[in-house]
Amino acid sequence: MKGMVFTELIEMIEARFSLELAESIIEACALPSGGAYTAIGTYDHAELVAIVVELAERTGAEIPQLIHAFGGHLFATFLKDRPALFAQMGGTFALLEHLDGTVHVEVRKLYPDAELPRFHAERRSPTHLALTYTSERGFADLAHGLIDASIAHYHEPITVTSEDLSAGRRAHVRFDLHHA
Amino acid sequence: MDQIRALQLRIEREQRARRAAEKIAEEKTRELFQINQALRVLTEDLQRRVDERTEELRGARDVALAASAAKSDFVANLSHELRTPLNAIIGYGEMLREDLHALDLEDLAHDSARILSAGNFLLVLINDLLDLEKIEAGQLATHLEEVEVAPILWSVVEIIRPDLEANNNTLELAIDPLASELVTDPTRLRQILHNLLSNATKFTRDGKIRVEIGPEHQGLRRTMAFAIRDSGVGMTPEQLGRVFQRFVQAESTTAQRYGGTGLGLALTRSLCQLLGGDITAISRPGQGSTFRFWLPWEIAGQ
Ligand code: HEM
Ligand SMILES: Nc1ncnc2c1ncn2[C@@H]1O[C@H](COP(=O)(O)OP(=O)(O)O)[C@@H](O)[C@H]1O
Ligand SMILES: [Mg+2]
Repeated sequence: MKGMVFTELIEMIEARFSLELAESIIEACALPSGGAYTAIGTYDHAELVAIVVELAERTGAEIPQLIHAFGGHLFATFLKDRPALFAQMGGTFALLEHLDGTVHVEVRKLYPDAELPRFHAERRSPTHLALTYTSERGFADLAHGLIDASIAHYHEPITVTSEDLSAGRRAHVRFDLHHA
Repeated sequence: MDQIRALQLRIEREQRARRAAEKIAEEKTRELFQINQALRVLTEDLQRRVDERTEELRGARDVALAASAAKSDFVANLSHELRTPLNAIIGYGEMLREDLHALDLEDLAHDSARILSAGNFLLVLINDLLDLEKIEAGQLATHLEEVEVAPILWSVVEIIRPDLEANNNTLELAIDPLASELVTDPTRLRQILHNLLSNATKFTRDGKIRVEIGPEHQGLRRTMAFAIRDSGVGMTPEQLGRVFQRFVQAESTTAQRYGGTGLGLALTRSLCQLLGGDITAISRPGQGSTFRFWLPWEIAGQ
């Protein structure tokens, strides 16, 4: 997983909790990388899981909620880094429909070794978008957080329900977005 | 953990991250350099192969040019060698026909007339071929003089009159009185007119052929324009597009139906260009054809 995901997670912990908590979690996890992440590096996905598990233990929060919140944090970062992309998309449906074909294709150009999830978007009706997430890393909650942040950003009356198609592994999940 | 310790840890972490980033950047730079080197080698290799191919092609072209020149020489020599015996065949054939005629042996006179016309056809073909080769080799000399157009046209009409009558065609001549004279090669003009008029007659039945001659301005240049129109079989656009190529006839059946070799128009165009002009044609299947050629009125500098 790209280092940018790790640096953003640590940044989120600092912002939401404290600098001390962030450093103490990293120290406690005894990570192979020592927590010295750089955006252009690539690190074991297990390190991210270890940090999140330790964070849940220290704060008493649920792991899915933490990953969801991290999705919101990531969305704010993406928005800050490339405002033009989000202006051009104009809404959540368009953004999600262009995720695999455009957005993550751009990511792949920058980071050929990125391990990206697969998204399949299908318009079932003008007001219903079905989005299926597939990834070995089981980060459907991150996707959910990103989707919710997008809806909030565009101020859209969209409700989201989800169904785990991978027996709770969060690796294969369908999201149903209904526009009021 | 107190804040000071946390800050300390963070600074250490960021220092290590920076060094890691520098190492990655260094590796990427080296990788790029190596890719660049590989690309340069590839480009050089490609350039070398292009050079080799170019050299090969140049060689092949030289060989082809030499072969073509050798072939032209051969055709010119052969044509010359063929003409000598052919002239004898035609000469003695004519004498024989006259004698047989005088002896009232009409059947035999008729047979010898067929030998004669076959011989004449061969002579025309060989002459056309020889002329074409000479033009292509830049060896056909022109003899320019002041030429009266009308007498030349009439002499050609006399030659093709039997064919005109055989195909039941009428002929109209429209010569602009202003177009009486021009400076050109009379032999070559006669050849051009003969080719076009004999085609018009050959490919028209129970129809009309019209020749128009008149002055024409092309910008500041004064030219003499000739149009030979017929109401004959005409040609499709594809046939028309190939008609000035040598050995090309409109259809593969044309030779059987009308005779001919497909050399006439190729030679005609070469002659027009040799004399400083050019030729074009328009045609519609079933409606007829028009061949227009023009020649400079006077030769530049005169
Ligand atoms: C609402 C829109 C988006 C959603 C739902 C989404 C979803 C995700 C998810 C779930 C991952 C985790 C990797 C995995 O599960 O295999 C991921 C990774 C990533 N996404 Fe997106 N993404 C979105 C938009 C973007 C945008 C706009 C960018 C622009 C830079 C981006 C860049 C990345 C990057 C760099 C990764 C890390 C790749 C790795 O793990 O090696 N994403 N994305
Ligand atoms: N006036 C015409 N009308 C129709 N077809 C013509 C005419 N003139 C030439 N063509 C076509 O162009 C071909 C080439 O003409 P030419 O070069 O004079 O060869 P040839 O007369 O020996 O066949 C002819 O075979 C004929 O198919
Ligand atoms: Mg002809």
